[in-house]
Amino acid sequence: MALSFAGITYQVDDRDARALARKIEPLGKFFHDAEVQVRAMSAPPSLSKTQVQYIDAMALYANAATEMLKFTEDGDSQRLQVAHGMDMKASEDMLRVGELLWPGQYKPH
Amino acid sequence: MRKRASRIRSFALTAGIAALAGLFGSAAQAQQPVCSVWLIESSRFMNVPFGAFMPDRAFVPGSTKPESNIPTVDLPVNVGVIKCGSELILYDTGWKQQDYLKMTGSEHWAPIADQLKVLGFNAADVTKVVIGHAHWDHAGQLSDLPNAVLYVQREELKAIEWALNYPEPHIRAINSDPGGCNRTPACGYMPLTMEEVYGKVLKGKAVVVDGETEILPGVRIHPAFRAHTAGSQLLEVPTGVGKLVFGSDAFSSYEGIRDWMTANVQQTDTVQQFLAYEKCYKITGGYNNCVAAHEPLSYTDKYPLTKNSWVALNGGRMAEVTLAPGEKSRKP
Repeated sequence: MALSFAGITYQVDDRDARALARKIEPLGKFFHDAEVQVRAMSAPPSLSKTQVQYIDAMALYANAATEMLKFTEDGDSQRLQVAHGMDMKASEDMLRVGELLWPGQYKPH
Repeated sequence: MRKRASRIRSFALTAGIAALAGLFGSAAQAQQPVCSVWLIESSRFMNVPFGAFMPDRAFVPGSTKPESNIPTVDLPVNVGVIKCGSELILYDTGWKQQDYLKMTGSEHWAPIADQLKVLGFNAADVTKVVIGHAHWDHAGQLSDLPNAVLYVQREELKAIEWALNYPEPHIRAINSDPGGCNRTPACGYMPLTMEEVYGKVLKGKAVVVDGETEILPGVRIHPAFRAHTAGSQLLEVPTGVGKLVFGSDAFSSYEGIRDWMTANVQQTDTVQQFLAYEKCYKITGGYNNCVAAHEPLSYTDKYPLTKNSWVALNGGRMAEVTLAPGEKSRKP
């Protein structure tokens, strides 16, 4: 959501590419680090598929952040649309992961 | 004799002017737009403790008082469908995220596109969406309305951004965070809903509103900041039964507006909520034309505006509120 809201603020408010980059960089690092950490975990066989889904979702979030950073460099607004699509898919995938990891609870996505 | 002639001429002139004023006044009134209105139930929250919705209606075991003898209520999520000439406007859009519906114990959901079809409309026909605020049950189906321009208050977006970036975790918590949230500043602003808003912004199909604005002749957005959320907004609509004012969750409860009780406190300043009620009274001349988002009595005689109702998809209800001249009924 932080990715989306950074995009909203850019579009409706300041149109400051550098400010957008400053918001996106730490988010991209966060998702990349999460992907690396979860990849390094050993999951029981029953959760191995879930682990892969989680890793893929983190990678997708990280890619969305990368795409938004590329936009701040070249101004190609299509990149924001692409990033938005990745972000939405990652959120949906996280909800599927959450069904197994946090059944009956609100799930981070 | 001359004085009498002069008085007669003066009277004739005045009468002539009055007649002309009446003629132009009628013409102007005839040009005043009148819209048709329907209400759609996007879904229903089931078995909500009445006191959680309206603190002054909290259940007291053994009480015989009507304001405290109802333990739970079912709350519809009402969407306004407004047709003004060739323009089709939605006030709020309900939601579709099945995970969110499941987590809140909601039932009787149907997709907005299918619900609009029941009324004989296509989702692609919707030209404008005004969201009363950006909570998950009010702004959740924007991407299914491809041609609609979204109207959202800048104050709403600013407040969401502030809350999401606040350093204290309880302040910035959303419903899907560990421990969830309860009426805190970011509560109700869920990721997939914010994606819906962002999608409209990215496609250039969003108008960020600063306060009051007219979106069509006679159809006016009124700010109701902090009446429910920071950037809540009302929508005034001219109809054949007088002006209606849609209020989303600023007007969560019709009984609340009628009885001057607060309802559905979230990011709410109750003083501002009562001032929003007053605005409806001033615009419409009473409380009966205030359109509430979650009134438990919706679609019954006890909420008169919504009584012309029927059961539609998946047990969800609809109502035909008023028809503009020449508009055929869309009640099945």
